[in-house]
Amino acid sequence: MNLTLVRKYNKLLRKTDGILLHNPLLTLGLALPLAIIPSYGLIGTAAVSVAMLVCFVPTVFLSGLIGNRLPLWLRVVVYPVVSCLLLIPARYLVQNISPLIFDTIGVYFSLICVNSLLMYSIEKVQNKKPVAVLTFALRQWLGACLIAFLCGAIRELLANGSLWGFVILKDLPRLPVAQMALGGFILFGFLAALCRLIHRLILSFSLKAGSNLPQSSTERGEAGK
Amino acid sequence: MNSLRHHAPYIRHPESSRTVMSDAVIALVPLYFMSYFYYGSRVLFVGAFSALLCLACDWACNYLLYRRINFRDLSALVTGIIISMLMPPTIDFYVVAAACLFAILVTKAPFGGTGHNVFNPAAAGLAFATLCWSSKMFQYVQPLQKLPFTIDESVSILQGPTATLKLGGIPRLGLTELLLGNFPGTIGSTYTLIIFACLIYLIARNAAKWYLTLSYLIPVALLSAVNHPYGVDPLESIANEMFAGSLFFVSVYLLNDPVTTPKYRIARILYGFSAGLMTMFFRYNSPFELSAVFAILLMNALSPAFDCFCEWLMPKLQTATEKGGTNE
Repeated sequence: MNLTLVRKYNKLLRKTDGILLHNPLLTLGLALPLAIIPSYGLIGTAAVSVAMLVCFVPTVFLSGLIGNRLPLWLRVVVYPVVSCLLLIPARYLVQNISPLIFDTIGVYFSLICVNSLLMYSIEKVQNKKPVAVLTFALRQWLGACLIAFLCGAIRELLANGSLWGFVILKDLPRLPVAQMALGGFILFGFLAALCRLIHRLILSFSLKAGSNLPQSSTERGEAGK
Repeated sequence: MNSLRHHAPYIRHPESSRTVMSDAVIALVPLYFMSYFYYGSRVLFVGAFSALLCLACDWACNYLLYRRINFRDLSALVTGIIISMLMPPTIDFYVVAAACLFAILVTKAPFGGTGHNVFNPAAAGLAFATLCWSSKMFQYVQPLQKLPFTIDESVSILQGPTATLKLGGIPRLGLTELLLGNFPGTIGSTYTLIIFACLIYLIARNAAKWYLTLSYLIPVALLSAVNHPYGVDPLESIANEMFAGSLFFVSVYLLNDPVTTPKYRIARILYGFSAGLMTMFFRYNSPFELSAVFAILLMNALSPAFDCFCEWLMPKLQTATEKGGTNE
């Protein structure tokens, strides 16, 4: 029964690779400044997520379609330029979330076009089929957004006692450092450690379940002899 | 045959973590009781709360991380007492709790516990509290009054002399007041005379290095003598800068932390000198009064670099000395 659960868990991990396993932010540490500094609240995180969906996913898909036809030195230049062009429609979408958010976050929107996550994803999808490329890009985006949203919610709650601007905790003491980059990095460190702990616990559980199998098969073998 | 098996290094030394930390506790206890004389029983509660919380947190972290819980390890106790000594007497308990939790949970436990921390936990906890609640961290009261347990509007809040110095003013404190700490300040870091006596005790017990404290105080004294306000004697300016805040306390207790200081003597002198320079730089250019703590944290990060520099420098010096001897 244990082994069945482990198989189910492994299957789930394979399906959600990039979201739960190999999360670009927590496991791989990619695009951390992009995720930490604008995600001081849920509004900022939502704006960056929408902009990433518009800029990041199509660029990675395009890189998967073109593949190795472009040399490496050109790939490094072309795809960020494509991502920059996509930032123009992204701006109009983001302004629907909050009119001032583009000016508030400022330079971090430009970082969506040139960041380590984009470069990693472009190189990762070189020999994949289009559908696989699209799902890979979407999983990477979803994994990054999920953690950024979690981080943004915790930080906004700690700093202002609110979520999406609505005050929830009125009388509790505030922690202004949560909105600073320092607070974001510390929170990310703890989330990464928590993620690692959960994975290690599940791994030890699966190892226990796996260790039962050869033993029982050996016993069966011996009984057969 | 019975044989004892120990891991390397096989060093026999009279000083251990326990002896160094118990010396630090002994040197902090007079300040703790002196604060009771100045501010009443509230500060005793603040000190006890901070020390016990740090100890409990340290033990809990060791338990959760499957490390051996060492009840003889007093480093968390020292951290807790230092945090409380650098807090104002009117401080809320939740600020103390946040500083202690940050010190142990963020600065100490994730790096491997006692002896492995990169930054001084007490300094990090205080820096965190300063960044979060800067207005509460610099609200002082007139000494020689019994503070109520709950601080209300009846307690008059004053500015410390360091704030006056930062604004370009002159605190006008007498030498006796400076030495006895009879002016608005933190709970336990203004009693210069007692801190000096504790420093002598720590040096005699080899728990503090005289050259480290001295190398820290020299640039502070030089810069405050050069940059003295108009109409103030340079000596008075030195005394104000060194003793009218928590700078002297930091130079004795935080700077001499055996874990975060460099290992070589020359490196320690350079470390102390740079920390002194940075303290004065922060004092002139930062919005916070607790500049010494931030300078120490910055120097903690550079501590291995000082050791590396020393390792690079020492063979060169040795070669130069040998060459000089051969020429003679």
